[in-house]
Amino acid sequence: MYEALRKYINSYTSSIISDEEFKYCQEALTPRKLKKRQFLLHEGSICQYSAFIVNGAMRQYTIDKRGVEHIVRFGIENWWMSDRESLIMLTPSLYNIDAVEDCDLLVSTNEQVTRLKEQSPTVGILFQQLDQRSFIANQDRIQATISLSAEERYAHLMEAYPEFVQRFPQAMIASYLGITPETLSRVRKQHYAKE
Amino acid sequence: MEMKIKSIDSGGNSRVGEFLVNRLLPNPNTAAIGPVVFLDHLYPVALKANIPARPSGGHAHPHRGIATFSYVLKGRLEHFDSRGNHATIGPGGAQWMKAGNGILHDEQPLPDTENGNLFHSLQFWINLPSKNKGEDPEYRAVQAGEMPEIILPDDVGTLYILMGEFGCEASPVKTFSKQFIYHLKLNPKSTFALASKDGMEYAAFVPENDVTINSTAVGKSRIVIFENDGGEMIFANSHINPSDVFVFGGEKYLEPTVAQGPFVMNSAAGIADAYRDFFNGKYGTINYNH
Repeated sequence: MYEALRKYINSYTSSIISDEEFKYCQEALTPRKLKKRQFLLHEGSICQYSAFIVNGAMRQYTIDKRGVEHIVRFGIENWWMSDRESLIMLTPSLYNIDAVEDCDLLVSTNEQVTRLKEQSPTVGILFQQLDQRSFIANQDRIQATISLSAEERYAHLMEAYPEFVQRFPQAMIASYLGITPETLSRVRKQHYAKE
Repeated sequence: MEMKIKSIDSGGNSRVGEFLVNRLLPNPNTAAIGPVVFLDHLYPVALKANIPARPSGGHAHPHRGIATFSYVLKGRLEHFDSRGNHATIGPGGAQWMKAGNGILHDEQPLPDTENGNLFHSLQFWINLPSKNKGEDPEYRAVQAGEMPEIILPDDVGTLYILMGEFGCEASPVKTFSKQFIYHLKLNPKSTFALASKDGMEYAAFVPENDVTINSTAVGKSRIVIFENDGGEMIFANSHINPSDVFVFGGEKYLEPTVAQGPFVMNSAAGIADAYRDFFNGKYGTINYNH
């Protein structure tokens, strides 16, 4: 379990984390298994954990008044899942986070992460990098969502995260792109016809 | 001599619950003014007329290490907390809560039904000295009439002492270091000068109508940070209606400050403890049935 985390930290920070610092990571992150369709977070509750995905796939979504799911985020191996707003501000979450495949996770509370950043400078750097990359990724997703056509959004997703299309069902991909499954089906045909 | 202006900042929009606010402090140029580490301006907003009788709890949240001070310009603000405190204040009143070692609260804006259901407010966070961060929470609702009102000479306007002292008058709100917040209501075509004191940091916030501050026009939710060079702050209203300015300041906060989410502490360990204690239920729960 922890070897995946060690590899991830080393590659993300372009450094080699010392055994001593990594020992703190092992203390701060606890292994947890989640079966397909089990929840990490329920809407209305306060997000207590950030989860690092060692194996598996997850999604974060809202459910509107008509019962329709809107997926804001997917996560696969080496991604972190949490509702940052609820985790930091301690307000009830608007989101659900659940497992789309059986998952092996390493979970940590904000208390543990805060202490870990003090104990391990490498982890401090890791989280700074994560903040930057996640800001850029979110900006990119907003840009794509508000300015690209359905075809372009699909092409954009295929370019940025081709593995999502293999790991998540079509209906979830459509929800993530903000289009209907019918539109996605049409767009996919066009996309592959071009190739 | 006019005090030099260090910066004028426009803040940045942020969403707090369902409301759009302008976050003036902290900003890229200034982390704090005296003990004030946070200032949000909740823009004037028309509330729905059918506000539920009790909040859903969806916006309840904890605090530790600060005192919160919510001042209402229009509408009313209802407060609930996990110590069983509950009160509603109107325009010119304030909700003060010393979070101390930890409390949950919820603030519910209520419409000014006579003025288009408007709500308009400010929220300040005051960093507590480390010796007060571990103390038990305290709460006080201050109604408009309880804020000392100073009629300024020559009919230039009125000064409300929201925190601290002015001359021989003092606000009923408790402070933990030398600090003040004044609400200055300038009459049309009027000017008021305020002298600075050594060792204090100063800022002025203008919510709406522009006011000329030390020869610079400032308005529409912008904040002026002063360079304390011993000079004066001169506020001039060139309009034919009254204009509002908030002047605040205090002794520099010298202890280390680490802030995250709703907590302001003196170390990262203090922040970690605050999150741990929240999930251990140390801040209690809010009973909305008052």
